[in-house]
Amino acid sequence: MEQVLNDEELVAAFRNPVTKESAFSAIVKKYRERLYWHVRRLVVVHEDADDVLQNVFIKSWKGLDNFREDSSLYTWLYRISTNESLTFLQSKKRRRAISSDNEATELISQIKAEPQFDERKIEWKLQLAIQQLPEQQKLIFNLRYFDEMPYQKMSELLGVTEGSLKASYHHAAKKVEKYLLNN
Amino acid sequence: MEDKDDIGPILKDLKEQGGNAFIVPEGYFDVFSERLMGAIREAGVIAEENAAFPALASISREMPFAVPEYYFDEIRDYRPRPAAIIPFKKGISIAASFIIIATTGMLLTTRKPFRDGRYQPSIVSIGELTNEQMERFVGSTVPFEKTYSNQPGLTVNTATLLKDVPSEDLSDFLDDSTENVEQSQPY
Repeated sequence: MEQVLNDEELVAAFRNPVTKESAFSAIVKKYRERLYWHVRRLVVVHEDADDVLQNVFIKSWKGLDNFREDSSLYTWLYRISTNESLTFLQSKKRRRAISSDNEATELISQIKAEPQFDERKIEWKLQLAIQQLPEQQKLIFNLRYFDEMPYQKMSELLGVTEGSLKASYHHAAKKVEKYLLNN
Repeated sequence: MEDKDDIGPILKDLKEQGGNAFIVPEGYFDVFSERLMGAIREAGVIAEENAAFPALASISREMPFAVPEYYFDEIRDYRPRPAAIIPFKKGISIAASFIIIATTGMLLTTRKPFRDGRYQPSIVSIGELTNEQMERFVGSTVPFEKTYSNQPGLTVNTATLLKDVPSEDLSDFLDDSTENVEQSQPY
């Protein structure tokens, strides 16, 4: 039977050359789905999410030896995923010379191009509503609403005070609710 | 009636040793209450937020986006792959082989241009041509069939026909016909 290790044990196993690879595989297995969805919500397209996720795990492999355990492994991986996703979006914007306003339009059209897209379904409307939010609010909304991440963890991850995070989430949720009620 | 504590020697020994094979992570009970209270507080905050945003609270947290089948099963290992390293000596020999092949190929396939830019044809004398080659050349330059085919019994000596044809033209024709034959050869 496969032994389930907690994050501290996984990090310790990663630092042991004998168990390094199996520990990393266990970390990937444990976090792949959560991180994928975190990235996908930001970059929208599956192929882009796959590229970003690949970079996230490659960077994790390279950086895990120097991971100082000031934060949890979970927060550390989320931080890498967030940074990688935002960097990806920035470089895409530069590459295609699109402004921030047009970036939202671009992501909306990508959502609408999804094979299962159905504008009558509330889940899809929610995805469209999220794209109206500024980048930081979008990130906070996704972490809180979908991942139900506690404000204290979000504070560790984003380096923003819990009070600011709560205020940002409330602003974002209000905008999303308004969109859902009017569309 | 049998004594209910009579559990046999093995079980008795195990019981005396603690009898528990399960392992609890170190410090688990020390932080248990703190974690529990944190979870209770968090649930309270989520309930407040749900009450403040009822439309949002009613929506499923499931993502509507599609993911290719078995995608997550296939994400197993994203470790960076080391680049293929070719030993120095082997690398040198591979590079040398490429240079030799490329140079030989160029020498065999390139014809030297004249000063005026035209290519120098191969020098061939009529004596080296086979009858078939000569006939094909004549067929492409002289309207042979029109002139002689309606006169039965008339045989034509191709060498006689070609006596006034310059060697250069013949060589050009040979080069062209050789190329055509090579191109039509199956690999």
